[in-house]
Amino acid sequence: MASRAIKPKRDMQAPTWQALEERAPSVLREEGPLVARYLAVASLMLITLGGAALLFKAGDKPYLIPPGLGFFFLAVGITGLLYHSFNEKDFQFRRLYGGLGVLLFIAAVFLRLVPLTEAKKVGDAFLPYGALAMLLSLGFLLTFIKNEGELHMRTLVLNAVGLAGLANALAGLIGGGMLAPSLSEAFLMPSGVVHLILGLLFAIGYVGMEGIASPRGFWAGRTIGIIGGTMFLGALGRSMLPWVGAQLNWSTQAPSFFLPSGLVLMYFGFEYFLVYLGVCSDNKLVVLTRRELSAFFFSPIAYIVLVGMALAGWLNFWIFVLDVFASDGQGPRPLPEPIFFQFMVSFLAVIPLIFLVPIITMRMISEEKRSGTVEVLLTAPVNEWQVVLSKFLAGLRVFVMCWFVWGIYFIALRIEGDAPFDYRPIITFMIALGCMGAGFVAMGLFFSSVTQHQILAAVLTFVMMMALTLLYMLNRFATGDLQWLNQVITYVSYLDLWITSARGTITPRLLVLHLSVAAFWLFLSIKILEARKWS
Amino acid sequence: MISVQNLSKYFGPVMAIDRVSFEVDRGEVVGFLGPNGAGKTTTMRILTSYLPATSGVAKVAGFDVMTESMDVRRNIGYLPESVPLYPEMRVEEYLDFRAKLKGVPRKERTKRIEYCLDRCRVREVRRRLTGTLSKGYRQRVGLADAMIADPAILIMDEPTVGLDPIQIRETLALISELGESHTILLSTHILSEVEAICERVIIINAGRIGMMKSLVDVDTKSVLIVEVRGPVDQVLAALKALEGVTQVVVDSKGSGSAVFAVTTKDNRDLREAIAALVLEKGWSLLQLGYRRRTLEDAFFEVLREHNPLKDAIEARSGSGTTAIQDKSGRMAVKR
Repeated sequence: MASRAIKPKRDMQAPTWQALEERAPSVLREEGPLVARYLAVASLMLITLGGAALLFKAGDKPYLIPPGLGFFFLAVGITGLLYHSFNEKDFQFRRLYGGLGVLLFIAAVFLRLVPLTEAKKVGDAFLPYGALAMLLSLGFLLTFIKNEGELHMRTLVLNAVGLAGLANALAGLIGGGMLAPSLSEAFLMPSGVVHLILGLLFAIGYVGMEGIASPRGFWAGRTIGIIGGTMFLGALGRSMLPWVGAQLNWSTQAPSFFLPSGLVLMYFGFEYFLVYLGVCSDNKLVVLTRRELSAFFFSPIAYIVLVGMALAGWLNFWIFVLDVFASDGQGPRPLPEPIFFQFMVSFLAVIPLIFLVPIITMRMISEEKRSGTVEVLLTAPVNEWQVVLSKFLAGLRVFVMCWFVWGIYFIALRIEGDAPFDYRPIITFMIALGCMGAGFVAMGLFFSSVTQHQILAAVLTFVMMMALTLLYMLNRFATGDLQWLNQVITYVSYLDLWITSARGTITPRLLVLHLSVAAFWLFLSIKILEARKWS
Repeated sequence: MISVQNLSKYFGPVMAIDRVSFEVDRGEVVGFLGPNGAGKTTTMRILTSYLPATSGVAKVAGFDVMTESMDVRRNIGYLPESVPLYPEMRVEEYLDFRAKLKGVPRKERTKRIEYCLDRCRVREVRRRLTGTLSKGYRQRVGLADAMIADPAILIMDEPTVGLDPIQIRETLALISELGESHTILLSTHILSEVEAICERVIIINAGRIGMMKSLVDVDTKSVLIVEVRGPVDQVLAALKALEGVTQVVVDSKGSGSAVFAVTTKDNRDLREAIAALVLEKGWSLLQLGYRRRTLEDAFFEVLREHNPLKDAIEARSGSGTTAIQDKSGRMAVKR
C-alpha cells in the first residue's frame, strides 16, 4: 500500500449536519444556605453552652455542665460554624467569618508575642489557646477565601495566609535549628513543634487555594521544599557534629543536638519535603502515590479507619487509667518506667493492628482489576513496579498516620499525669512500627493483587495477621527439647519486636527482617502484575 | 504506522486470533469490523502491549509491542470498550493525572487539558466526579484522556457503544476531525459508522481476517437491476444470451413484471444494450439501474465464507469433504 501523508480536509461521506448545542449537562440547582444557617444557629447555642461551662469552671463557680462536656460542645459548635462558613455565599456572613478569622489570628499573635503570664516570658501564653486560635483562624480564613467574590480582598487574605505560613515555618526553623541545643530544645518542645505544624498547614492552605498552575503557587510549593530540605540537612549536619568532632579530635566537644531537637527537625524537614513533592513533582511514582492517597481520603475508608483507631485508643487509654488507679483505691499507683511500655503492650493495642492492615490494603489492586482501570493504567507509559510501589507507599503512609492518632492519648497522659515521662521509647517504637507496617502492608498488597474480589483479599490478609499474632502463643511450648522454637518465634512473630521496641531498644536485625519481607511481598506483587505478559 | 504480521493469540486452547496480518498507514482512519467475539478487542490489547501474542510480530510507530513496550505506549492513546475511570476523581483532576502519567510537560499541561476539555465537549462537567457522569460523558472523558498527550496513533475499542443517536453522531464527527491529523484504528460492529468515517475497513471473523479493502473498492461488483414486464422465461433467456452477461438471477416476481439481477463480465456497463434488447423484443422496461454493493453485503459475504465450525469439521473429516448445515442447524458431512 502506498504510504499516504496526512491529507487536507475531505468531505465526509455522511450527510453534513450541524453540531447541536450541548444537551447533556444537567441543570444545576444551587442548594440554598438554609440548612447551613440553621446549623450555624444550633452551633452558636452549643458554643455558648460550652464556653459558659468552661468559664464557670475557670472562675471556680459551681457549674451544671461538666467541663469535659463543655469542651465537646465547644468543638461540635465550632465545627458547625466552619461548615456554615464553607457553604455560605452571602456577603455579610462571608465578611463576618473573614473578620472572625482575622480576629482569631490577631489574638493568637497577641498571645504569642506578649508576655502575659506571671513569669513574664514571651510566648508562655501561646499554648494551648493561642495555637488553637491560630488553627481555627486558618479554617475560617480559608473558607472566606473560597467564597469571596471580590478579587483584591481575596488576594490580600490569601497572601496573608501564605506569609503567616512562612513566618511560622521560619520561626520553627530558626528557633529550633540555629540556637544552642539547650535553648532550641526549650523552644522546640512544644511551641516550636506547634509553629512548624501550623506553618505547614498554612502553607498547604495557600498552595491549595492558589493552585499550582499559577507561578506564585508553584513557587510557594518550591519554598516549602527548600525550607524542608534546609531543615533536614541542617539538623542532620548539626546532629553529626559531635561524632565528626570525635573523629577529628577537636579540642572542644560539640554539644549534642540529636535528641530531641535534631530528630524533630529532621522529621519535620522530611514532612515539608514530602508536601513539596506531592504538590510540585511530576515524577510518575509521586503522581501515582498522590493519586492513591487522595483515593483513600475521597472514600469513607480512611475516615472509618481513623475514627476506629481513635476509639480503640480511647478504650486502651481508659483501661490503662483504670489499671493505674485500680490497685488499692488509694490513688494512682506508681508505675515503673518505661510508662510507654505499660501503655502499648496490651491486647487492646495489637487487635487494632490485625484489623487495620486488611482494611487498608484490601481494595488496592483488586478494585482496579474489577473495574478495569488496571488496563488503562498499564497501557500508559508506566512500569509495573511504579504502580505497586506507589500503592505500597500510600498504604504505608495511611498505616503510620492511623497510629499517630494514638498520640492524642499520650498528650492527654502527659497533661493529666502532670509529670514528664520518657518519650524515647516512642521513637524506637515508631521506627519498629514503620518497619513492621511495611511488611504487613506489602503482604496485604500481594493478597490484593492475586484476586479481583476485595473480600477475599481482606480475609486472606486477616488470616495471615492472626496467624502471625497467635504464633507468639506457641512460646509456651518452647521448653526443654523445643528450646530452639523460642528463637524461631522471635523472628517469625512480630510481637517480640513490638515488646522490645516499646521498652526502648532497637534490634536492627529484626527491622531488616521486616523490611526484607516487605521487599519480598512487593516483588511477588510486581510479578503477579507482570504475569499477564507471560502468555 | 501499525504493522501486524501473522499475529496469533491463544487463550489456552481457545484461539482468539489466527495469523492476522494488516497494516495501517500514517493518517489513515481504519475501521476494524467484525461480529462479537471475532478477536477485535484481543488484537487491540496486543497492539497496546497489554497482552502478549502467542506468535507473530506487531509493530506500532516502528516499535515492537513486546520488546519496546514503553515506546509504543508513549505513542498511542487507547480507549477501551468499557471506559474505566476512577469514580472518586473529578474530570479535570483525572485528566491532569493522566497527563502527568503520560509525560505531558508542566508548561503545556494546562493548555492541553483546556484544549481536550473543549474538543471533547466536556468543559461543562469538568468539576463533576467521574462516577456521577452518564455514559456519553464517560465516553467523552475517555476520549479526552486518549488524546491528552497528543499521540500519533489512537486506538479505540467500540467508541460509540451505548451512546444515544445524537452522541453517536457527535462522537463520529469528532473522530473524523481527529482523523485528519492522527492515525486512527477503531473497532466496531456497526456498519454505518464505518461507512461514515473510515477510509479503509478490515473485516475480521472468528479470528481471521476476511477482507481488507478501502471503502471505495468495496463497491466494485455492482449488479444491474432490470425490471421488465413480459414473459419471465423468455426475458431470462434473452438476457442470458446477451454478450457480456455472466449471470442473471430472478430477484422477485410481481404481477406481470419481474426484477432481474444481471451480473456483467468485468463490470461492463451494459445498460444501453439491455435497454435496446428489451425494446427490440417489444417488452416494457420498468426499471434499469445499478444496485450498489454495500458494506453490509461484503460483511455478510465474509461471514458466510468463513464459518469456523465448517472449517473445523472439514479439517477433521479429511480433504475433499464439505460440511453442510441443514435446516435445523445440524452439520452433515458430504463427500
